[in-house]
Amino acid sequence: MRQSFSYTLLITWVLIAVSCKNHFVQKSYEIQNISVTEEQNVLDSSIVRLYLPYKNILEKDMNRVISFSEVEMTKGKPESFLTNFLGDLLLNEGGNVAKAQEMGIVPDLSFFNYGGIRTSLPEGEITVGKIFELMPFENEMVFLELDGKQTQEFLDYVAAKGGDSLGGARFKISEGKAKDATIGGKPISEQEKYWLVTNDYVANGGDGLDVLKGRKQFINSKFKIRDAIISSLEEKQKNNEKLTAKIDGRFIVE
Amino acid sequence: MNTKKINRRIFIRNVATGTAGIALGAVPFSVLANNDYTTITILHTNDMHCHIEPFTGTNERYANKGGLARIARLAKIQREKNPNTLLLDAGDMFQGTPYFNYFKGELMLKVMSAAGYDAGTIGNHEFDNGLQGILDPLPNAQFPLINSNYDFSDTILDGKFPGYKVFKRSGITIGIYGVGIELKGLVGQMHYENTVYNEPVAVAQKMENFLKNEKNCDLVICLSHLGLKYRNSTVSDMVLAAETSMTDLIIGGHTHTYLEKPIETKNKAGKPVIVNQAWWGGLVVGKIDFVFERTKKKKIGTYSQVLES
Repeated sequence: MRQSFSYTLLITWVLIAVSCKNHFVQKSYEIQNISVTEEQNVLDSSIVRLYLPYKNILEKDMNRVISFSEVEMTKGKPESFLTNFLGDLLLNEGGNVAKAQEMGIVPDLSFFNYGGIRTSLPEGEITVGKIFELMPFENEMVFLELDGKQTQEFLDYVAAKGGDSLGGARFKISEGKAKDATIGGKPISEQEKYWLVTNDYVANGGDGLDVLKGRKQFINSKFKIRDAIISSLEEKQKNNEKLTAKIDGRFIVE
Repeated sequence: MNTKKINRRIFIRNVATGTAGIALGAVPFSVLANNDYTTITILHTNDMHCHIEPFTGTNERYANKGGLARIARLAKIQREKNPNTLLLDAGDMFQGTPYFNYFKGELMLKVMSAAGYDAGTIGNHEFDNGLQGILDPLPNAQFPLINSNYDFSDTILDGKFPGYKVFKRSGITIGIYGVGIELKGLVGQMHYENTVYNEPVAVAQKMENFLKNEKNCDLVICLSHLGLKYRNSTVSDMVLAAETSMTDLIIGGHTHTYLEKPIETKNKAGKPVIVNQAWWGGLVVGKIDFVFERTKKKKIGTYSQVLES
């Protein structure tokens, strides 16, 4: 009798223990975003040991200074030092690559997608590593021929984005459209065809640039955009030319 | 013989002799204590973009800040304070420093594993070297990459990513699901091939219901790479928060959003849900502590009543 009572008690306790085990009630929470800083957070030594051999391989390449910039270049809209600098650089380098590869064309327009520009360029020394940060993607330089209508549609896309990294064209941004556009200083014409130099990412419709999929001709140089930037900077350095950039009113917001 | 067994023996003996008072004292505290609070700490990052090291000294905005090497230490300290800590990432681990260009995803996944990540999800930049570029470094990840809305069944990545993961910490059940952003127009088709994107809201609703009601999770977390919010109606974390009703925390990424503190908002059922994002490059770590009370009663209140009081 006493024993059966004990067992009943035991079973009850076990039941409570089991049922308790699965019942949690969330009482409260605390939320916080912690800034990760030099002062507050030291480096984890085991992590450092893990990446150090990799770092040594990289550093040999990355710390090489290839250029000097007179100004700090950051990206912004509608125009900025960085977006204008890169747009112009791509138009120029595109011309060089087209010539070197005997494509028989000269690009009229150049375009970098804004989101693909991943960092700023500092005033002073520019290293190879900085260009890797700026343009980390393995994108290739491609050439697209667009008809006049497609070109206008493409410029409208840039206008709708409130400006972008574009070389070779100037226009007014009016109600999200490119108004009074000129290409190479001449008004855009529906009868003309234009060559655009850009990266394979946008050429394949990346960033919503479906208009580029309808191009009339397509040439892939297989030359990496990042390598184009590096070689352009090295070329300038050879001529003792420092990097500079300007806001030149290529986009006027109405 | 472990202590649990010893305690259970004492417990049985004491009950058998009718000395219930002694029995209470002898049972492990965690099983029977009345006001037993357990804290689950969630630490999270997003858009690390291979920032294994802090930003370099020449970087004008972020000099010497951020990086996985600092976060690893921070997470270790947090785990020492509270072993019930989960370290999570919301995608875009890849692309952004030469470590990716030179070593692809290998080093990043190795370092994240060593830093003790419990789970991550897939961001759009994970596709930057194509599906093969995800498959090759994947064996280096000693943590699951959770995704519930990409269908990889017609690709080489079939079966590589769990749709959810359930963690148990001190008896508390934590369910995690993951949603990724629409790849069309964002990632070259040659890079995602036949990956099918399923609409995240419907997937999230299905997953939260599954985790809450079938897996009996006490806490449901969404790892999202949709982006915090957009001006248009594009699906985002804020859309997800408003359209779900059992998800407690949405950890986001993609938009590289800096938030002074996590966002507290209401879900479809009018209950609180937390949405957070930790900037990028390891510049911020989000920290959410959920305090649970273990109770003898069936339920002393609903989640919302408790939180709103």
